[in-house]
Amino acid sequence: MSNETNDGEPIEVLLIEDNPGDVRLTKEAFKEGQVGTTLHVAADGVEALDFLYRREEYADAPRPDIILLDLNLPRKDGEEVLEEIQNDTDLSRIPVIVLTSSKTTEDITKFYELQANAYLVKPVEPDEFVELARALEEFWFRFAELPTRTA
Amino acid sequence: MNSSGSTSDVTRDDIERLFSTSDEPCTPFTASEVAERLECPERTVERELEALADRDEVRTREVADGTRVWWRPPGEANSTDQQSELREFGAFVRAVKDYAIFMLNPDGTVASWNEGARRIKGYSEDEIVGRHFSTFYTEEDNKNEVPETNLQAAATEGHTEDEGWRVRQDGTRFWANVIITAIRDVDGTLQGFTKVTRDMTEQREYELQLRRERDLTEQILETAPVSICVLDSNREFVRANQQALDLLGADEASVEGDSIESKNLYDGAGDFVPSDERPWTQVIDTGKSVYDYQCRSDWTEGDRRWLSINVVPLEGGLSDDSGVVVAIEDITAQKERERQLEERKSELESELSEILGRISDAFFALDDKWQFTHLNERAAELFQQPQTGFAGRSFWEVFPERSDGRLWEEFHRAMGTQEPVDFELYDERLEAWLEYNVYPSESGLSIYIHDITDRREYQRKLEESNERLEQFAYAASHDLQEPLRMVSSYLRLIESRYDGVLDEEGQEFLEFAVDGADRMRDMINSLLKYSRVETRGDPFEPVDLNDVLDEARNDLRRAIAESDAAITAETLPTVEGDASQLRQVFQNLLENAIEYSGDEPPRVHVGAERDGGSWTISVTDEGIGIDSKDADRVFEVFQRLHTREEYEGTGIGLALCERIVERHGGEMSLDSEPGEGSTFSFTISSNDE
Repeated sequence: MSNETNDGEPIEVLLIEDNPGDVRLTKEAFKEGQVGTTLHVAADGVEALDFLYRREEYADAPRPDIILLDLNLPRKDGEEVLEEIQNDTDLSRIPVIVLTSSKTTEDITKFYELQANAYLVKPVEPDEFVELARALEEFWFRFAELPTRTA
Repeated sequence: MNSSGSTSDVTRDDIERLFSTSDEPCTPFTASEVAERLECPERTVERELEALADRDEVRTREVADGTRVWWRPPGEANSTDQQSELREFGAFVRAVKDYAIFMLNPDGTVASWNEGARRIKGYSEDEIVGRHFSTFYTEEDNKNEVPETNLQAAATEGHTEDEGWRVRQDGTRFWANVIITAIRDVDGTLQGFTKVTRDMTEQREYELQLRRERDLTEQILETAPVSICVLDSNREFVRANQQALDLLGADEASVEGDSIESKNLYDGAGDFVPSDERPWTQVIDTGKSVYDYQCRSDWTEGDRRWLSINVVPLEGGLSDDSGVVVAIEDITAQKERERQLEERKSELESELSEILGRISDAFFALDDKWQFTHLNERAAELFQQPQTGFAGRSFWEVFPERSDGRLWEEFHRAMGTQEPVDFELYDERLEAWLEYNVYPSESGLSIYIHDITDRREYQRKLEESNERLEQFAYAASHDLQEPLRMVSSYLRLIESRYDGVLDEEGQEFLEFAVDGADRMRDMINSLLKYSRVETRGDPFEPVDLNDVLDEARNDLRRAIAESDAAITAETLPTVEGDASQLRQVFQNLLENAIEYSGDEPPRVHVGAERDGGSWTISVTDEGIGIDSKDADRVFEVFQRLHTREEYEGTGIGLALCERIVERHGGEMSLDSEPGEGSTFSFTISSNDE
């Protein structure tokens, strides 16, 4: 990929999403985008936290550079996951983007109350895929200088 | 003289004795008669009589044939004691000040004068003696020869008494009482007159005054339209005016000395009033006045009259026997009117209470002192207290716990503004929702209470149900979005990735699938908006509709430009509302107006008209119009009048508009002619109340 990080490595992205359709769509979105990424997927909240804490099968998992979080998850939902991330001084440095399927104000308000860094409406139109990738890029460059990368 | 010695002394004594023992002291004797009685020589008698006459002890006079008669003058004492008494008397008479006492000569000229005469008449003795007494009479009396007549009367009758005006020296008049007495000598010859005059002016004035007062009293008594009588302490009539006589059915002769106790009295209930309870008895016993004692009588023809009796003790009476004045007014007519009014009132009251009893609402009325004047059965039931326990009591006394709360406030407001007040209140004691309708008047409040607990409950359930439906609609449309997004997204992916792979037919199928998914997404979004009008709206605040319209036009600027639409607008008002929702209304209405404009470029006019406290906002187009039979359907969800091939749209826009307008307390309406255009209007209350 032409647009990779400073040290040439792809961006580690953790997508927490139970809907395989959405997972696939996200993958497709990154394909269309300009940024070199490695997409890791956790299908529910428990799995996501195992990944972040490198528990059991995720012992060798990389630390994500960015987290894409769907709120509607089985076992442990997105809000709880977000809360745990925010309560962990180390993890809280990882930028979290909440994915949503609605544009309603009350949802958006809730995301910011949960201290998400941003929210993105899940893409439908082809140009929205590009939008997703572009937003991700933006976040990546904004948070690139943070010490999270050195962990 | 001394030579005549003892004989002459004896003879003189005899003569004096003869005169004094005579039956008539003044009887005159001739000398021969005396001599005959005393059996002594006539010459001696004659000489002695001469001597007595010289000493003024007897009077003598020559009669017809030259003979003389002798008599002892009347009243003249023949002793020195008597003489001094006479002198004293004379001095006394002269000194009398309150009476004019003087003598007149037989011709009426003044012969003597005293101090009283000087004082009363103003003349001094020198001035008046010798003048005719007619000087004292008025000109008029003189003309009528009153002085002469009086003298004549005195002369013939011996004396005369007269009262009348007399004139003083200075010309002023006084009222005089005059007694003129004739003075005659022994043989009856008129010697003159004594005249005693008393100044009666003051006494006469006093009498006149008394008479006037008596006349006035009499007149008042008889003129007063009230029966008045005076009773003595035995309750017997002393006097009664004509009114009283009429009332008592008596005449003046029979009533005098009659007792008022012979007349029966009855109280209002028709019971006999015993003597000691009657007003005059009380006044005679206590000395205190009684006013407006109401009772009935059967004094005239057994017809029971209503009387109002006032009794006042007679004060400062001349006699010790203290009586009373009784004034009696016949108030039968007045009582009758009162009775009729009372009857009418009670008729009206029972009618009213029947009406109020029939109404299902609780009702009560308070006067201007907050006292209950009426309370129907339903109200007593509601307050869980007997209906009889309210009369005359203050609302705040009966319900002290309600006095400082909402009721106090609202009742006082209604009374203060004299405007009806309606409000709903949850009564914790009754555990019920009550609707109060308070109607004020100058004289108090009429209050209707309607138990709206059931209605409230129904309303609450309805609201709950609506809320659940809204939640359902929201959840359904929200959750529908997820699978739809999958469908849409992957259709897009197929469209973009396999552009060259699908044949023409395959591409057409794909287009239909994409179109269907798009429309479904629009419908779901509309449904989401529709379901959240009530629950997710912004609070109302003043909204300038001109700004709202501008925003809506801005949102539609592409459609406006493409259709070459001309949108005109009047100046719109500022209203209370949710700006974002009102923008959706304008946007939908303008969108429709542009969309259904027909072949011509759309011409749309936005108008505003004030109607009392609200505004009617209208959006008028000159488009294809709507048939009146379809007018209601356009406001229903997903109702479309046209095929999708003709016109796009989800069929929810107007339903959404109506819902938003209803949330603002207004109404939507449509006025349209097919082919002529449509006017969509909505009402909204102005914010300047």
